[in-house]
Amino acid sequence: MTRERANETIRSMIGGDADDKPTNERADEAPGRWAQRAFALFVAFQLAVPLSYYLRADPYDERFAWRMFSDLRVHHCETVATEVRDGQATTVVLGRVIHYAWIEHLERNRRGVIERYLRTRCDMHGVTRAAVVNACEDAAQEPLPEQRYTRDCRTGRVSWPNARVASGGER
Amino acid sequence: MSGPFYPLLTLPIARVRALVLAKFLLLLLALDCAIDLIPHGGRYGVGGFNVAHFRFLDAALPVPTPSLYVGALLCVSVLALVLVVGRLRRSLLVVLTLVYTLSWASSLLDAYQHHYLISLLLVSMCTFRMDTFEQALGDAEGGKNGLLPAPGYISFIVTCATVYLFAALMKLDADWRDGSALRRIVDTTQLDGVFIRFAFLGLSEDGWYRLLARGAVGLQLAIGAGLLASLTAERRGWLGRLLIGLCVLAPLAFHASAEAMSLEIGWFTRYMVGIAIIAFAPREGLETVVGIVEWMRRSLRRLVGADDTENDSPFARGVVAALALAFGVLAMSRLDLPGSTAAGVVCAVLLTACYGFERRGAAESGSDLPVAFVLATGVVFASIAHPAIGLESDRGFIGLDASTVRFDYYRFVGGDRRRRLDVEGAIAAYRKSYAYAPTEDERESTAAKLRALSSQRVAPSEARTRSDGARHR
Repeated sequence: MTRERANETIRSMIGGDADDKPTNERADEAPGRWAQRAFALFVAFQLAVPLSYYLRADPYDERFAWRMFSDLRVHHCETVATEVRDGQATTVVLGRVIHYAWIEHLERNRRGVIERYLRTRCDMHGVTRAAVVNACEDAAQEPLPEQRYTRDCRTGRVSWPNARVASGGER
Repeated sequence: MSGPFYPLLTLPIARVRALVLAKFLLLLLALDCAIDLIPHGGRYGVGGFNVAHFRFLDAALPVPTPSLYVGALLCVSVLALVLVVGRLRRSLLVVLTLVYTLSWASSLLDAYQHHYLISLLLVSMCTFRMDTFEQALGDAEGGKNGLLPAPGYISFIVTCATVYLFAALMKLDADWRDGSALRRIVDTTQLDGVFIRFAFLGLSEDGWYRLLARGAVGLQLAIGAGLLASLTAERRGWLGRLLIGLCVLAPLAFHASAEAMSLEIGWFTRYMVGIAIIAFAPREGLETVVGIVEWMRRSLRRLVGADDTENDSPFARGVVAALALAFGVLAMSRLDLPGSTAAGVVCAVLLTACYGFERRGAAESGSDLPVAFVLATGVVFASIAHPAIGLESDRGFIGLDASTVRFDYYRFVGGDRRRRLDVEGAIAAYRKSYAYAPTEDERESTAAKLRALSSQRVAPSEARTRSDGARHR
């Protein structure tokens, strides 16, 4: 077998014969500039949104970041909700006031849900202060800093956890 | 024409591949919405509490109710099946994409990340060529060998590859690499047998979890790279196409192991395995499948005389269309789910508008819509309401178990109401759940819950006695 014939054989196996390549015979089928720009924007959007996770203030908000089964996702938290109603501190039985599916969001430190929950409790008559406290442990079942969220119903001020949750290599 | 993306977007793609992908995704989406998502519809709007994915939606939309959510999903199911059975139509695809995206975006109750992915894929699909099977087989207009540039398909595959690549990159932190995160999320008992069988490899349990965790990262990277390589398949020789075809083993291995470990990821596995098989399948195989489906369709049309339209009057066609609409709305109304009748009416109105618009353009256009609507609503009805189909044998029941959609829907509603001490509401829900219980065991379990709830009810005469006693103290 000559070298040329060998090269031809290899090309046909891997890259196909140049004469056999399907061609676009209709120029109007090729994507125009606007189609290319739309594609570029679409891809840029898909890259930017997951990367924006690292700029978010809330590390527990992993939506759209393709962080399936991340280390944060496997944190296990116990949630206690309390409030001061008519001057008395009480524990809220969460299952009686919201659907249990929302309780899972509270347990996962979803700030948007916690914020809405606290606002809802403050709208109740007589409630002057509402709080959600998450006691969490990481994937290795080591305790993490307590995540405490409180809302002063008179001023509407919400305080967020001080301690950043440990993630990745941080301990 | 040039540009940095021109070489990518002008890669020749088999028309049949994009069409099969579209039909597959729509079929799976229809069944996913009807079977997997609707049972959870009862949680929406409970207590007026809701948080949308985006703040502007909280302001712009009402709090989603079970009727709205279930109705939206039923609309998606019906429209998706109309597009599967009939011709692809961009207008209906755009409506479907909007409704589906709103269904999950309107509430954090639906936070499955793969629903966001499906929305992205549907956006790409809206730019697909709206081929018929006949066109896709390349005997109509088109380029050489049924290959043409398909920017929509390329966008679709690039989206899938992006997900895998990011999913792999996001697993590079220490908790995943050392296997502790994986150990936390899987049912470890299911892996014990594997560890024992392969004990000769000398790995400790920690070593196994490390290996599996890192293997998952490697597989996801391979899948992403393989999907991107699959876009060049039509330019390769037989060896190149074979190697690309073998890449399908990576997603099969990854998703099979995810299923084996009982990871709760909804229907994500089915979507991705199906997409991978279609993306990596040889074009000839897809053309054979499509050829068979097209032959069956033509045979059926000949059998029922659908091709003999010379004697059809507009009045006759109108009657057929009206009967089809009536059937579809009736089928949906019989589902006994909130929003089902409204969904049937909305779909009927949408399809009537589509039908009328198309027929104004060409007399033969839209002729598939009435039949597609009947079939679509029939399939949705059957998937939600089907009884057990099969035979009892010595080895147990062989066949299809009864649908649990309505049983689960009302069971979940009953459970929530019971937790919130709404006894009457819970009883009402459990009574419906009892009526739709698929097996004797579940009927008895529901009956036990009803008995427990009934004992919590205060009888009217007892209530009067108690209040009389209180007044006289």
